[in-house]
Amino acid sequence: MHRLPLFTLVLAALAPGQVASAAEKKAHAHGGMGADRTAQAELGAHAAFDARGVLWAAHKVSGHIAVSRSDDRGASWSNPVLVTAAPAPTDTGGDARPKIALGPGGEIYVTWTRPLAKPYTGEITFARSLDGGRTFSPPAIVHRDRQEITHRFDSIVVNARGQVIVAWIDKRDLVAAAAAKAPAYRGAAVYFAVSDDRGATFRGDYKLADHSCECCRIALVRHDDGSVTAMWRHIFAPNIRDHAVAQLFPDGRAGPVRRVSFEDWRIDACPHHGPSLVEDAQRRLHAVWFSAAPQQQGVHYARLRDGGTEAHRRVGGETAAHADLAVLGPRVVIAWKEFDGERTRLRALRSNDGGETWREHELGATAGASDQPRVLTSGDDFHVFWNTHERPLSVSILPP
Amino acid sequence: MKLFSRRSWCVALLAGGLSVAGLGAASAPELRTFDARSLAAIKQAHAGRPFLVAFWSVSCEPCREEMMIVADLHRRFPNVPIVLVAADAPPHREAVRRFLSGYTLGRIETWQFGEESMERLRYAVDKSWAGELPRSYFFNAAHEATAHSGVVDAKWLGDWLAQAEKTARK
Repeated sequence: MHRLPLFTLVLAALAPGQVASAAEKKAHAHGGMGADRTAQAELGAHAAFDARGVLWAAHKVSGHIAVSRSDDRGASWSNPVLVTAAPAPTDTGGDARPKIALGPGGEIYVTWTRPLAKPYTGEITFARSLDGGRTFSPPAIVHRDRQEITHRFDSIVVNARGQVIVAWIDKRDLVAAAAAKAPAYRGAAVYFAVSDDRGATFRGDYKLADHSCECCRIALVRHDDGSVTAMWRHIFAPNIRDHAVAQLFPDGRAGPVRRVSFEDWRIDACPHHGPSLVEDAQRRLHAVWFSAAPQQQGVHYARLRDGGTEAHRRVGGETAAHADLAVLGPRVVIAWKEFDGERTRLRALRSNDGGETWREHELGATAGASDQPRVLTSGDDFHVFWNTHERPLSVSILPP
Repeated sequence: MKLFSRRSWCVALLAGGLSVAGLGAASAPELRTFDARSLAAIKQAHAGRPFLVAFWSVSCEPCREEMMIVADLHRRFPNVPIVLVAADAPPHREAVRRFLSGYTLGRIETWQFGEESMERLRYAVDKSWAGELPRSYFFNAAHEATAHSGVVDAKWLGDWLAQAEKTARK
């Protein structure tokens, strides 16, 4: 990847708050069913607070990847800045969406998966802004491998040293095994790449683990020493789609793969349902994940420890889905969505004692389509970011 | 895991090749819009008869193997109704059509999720279905359903269809 002139495209005609409705109108004007885009397929969004409390969101606007900012914690949003010069098709997988991460010097990093012609294939695409979100670099491919195969479900984190780490699901080992007439390769693999120069170039591709599930998001959490722990849905032999974690290091080394969920979900299917992972001040890992194993269906929470879990509990009811979580000191907040037959409800659990005891909160509901929620922290507060058809880029602040 | 065996790849390529060669002037199958009331309508259309409803998606790789198994067995048991529903949002209609055109579907009905939220559509089918694909429902003549997540076993499905065909003849 090379340094190239920066460019910018600003959708200046749109007033704040009118972004989604304009996108909708466009989709409807194109004839609804035959249109390339409708709101439902374009709700995938991701957000992060910077150190000054500005909230940044990566989302789709009229088919483009776009970044919007909010100076009032989501009450109002700036005009979106388009990251892509032309409308950018993005992966259709249920767990795929554009991602945003912020660097220590105000850098804004965005990744997404660009689908290629063959089904289930893609490229992990990256763009950055070094001028506070006014302009973005032309999109570049993160990985060296350029086969028309699966490189999908990108995840991005900026580590404690400011290095940019992107991980993704990759099928090169499956393809290589088939070409070598070796025994069939189980699932996909997790690979990663590292940038030491604020996203100007990436080095890799480093393998983190063999035998991941094919279509679930990867959770990444950074540690003080610059390493990162990843959690993903794994395929334990022969077809058990439970979860694993492994530590990755910025020099490309990968630690051992450790199993952390034990529902024993044996299935040859795409769950489209990845985990979330955070680390607290005592360096304990807290995770949420989904399983549909018999008697275990639903969202699970636990603290992860060697050889097992502790403080394990179920989250929400029978239709609970797509949970996320965050920590602040001893406090933990989990948010998820849950369909009650009429509406999709946004619900949350809060613990003030590191996951031992919990209180539940209702944060909202929508009758229409909605994205997965994200739990974010800024200052001393927890926020839940939820992009819905009815209320684009909405933010709920948890009561103290 | 047998999902990605070389044999599967070969069959996939063969099926793809045959469809390109054999499709010719054949008209595209009707792709109906599946809403929260569609399953009730489908049940009514097949009142008193066993039938299979199989949900799949263009973004689900195991669904490709499921599709091959279902299309293959449909040729042996053409009298048992099979309904394929793409759990893909309306913008992916062309991708759904492309995917379906790779298979010889005979009298299999094809549907695709409509504008309602995914959660609502899934809930209308079965509130315990979390969205994993493929997901199949085997309805007996009394329309009691057995649900299955993941690629269906070809032998099991063959036996079920044989039994269902006998029931249908009675």
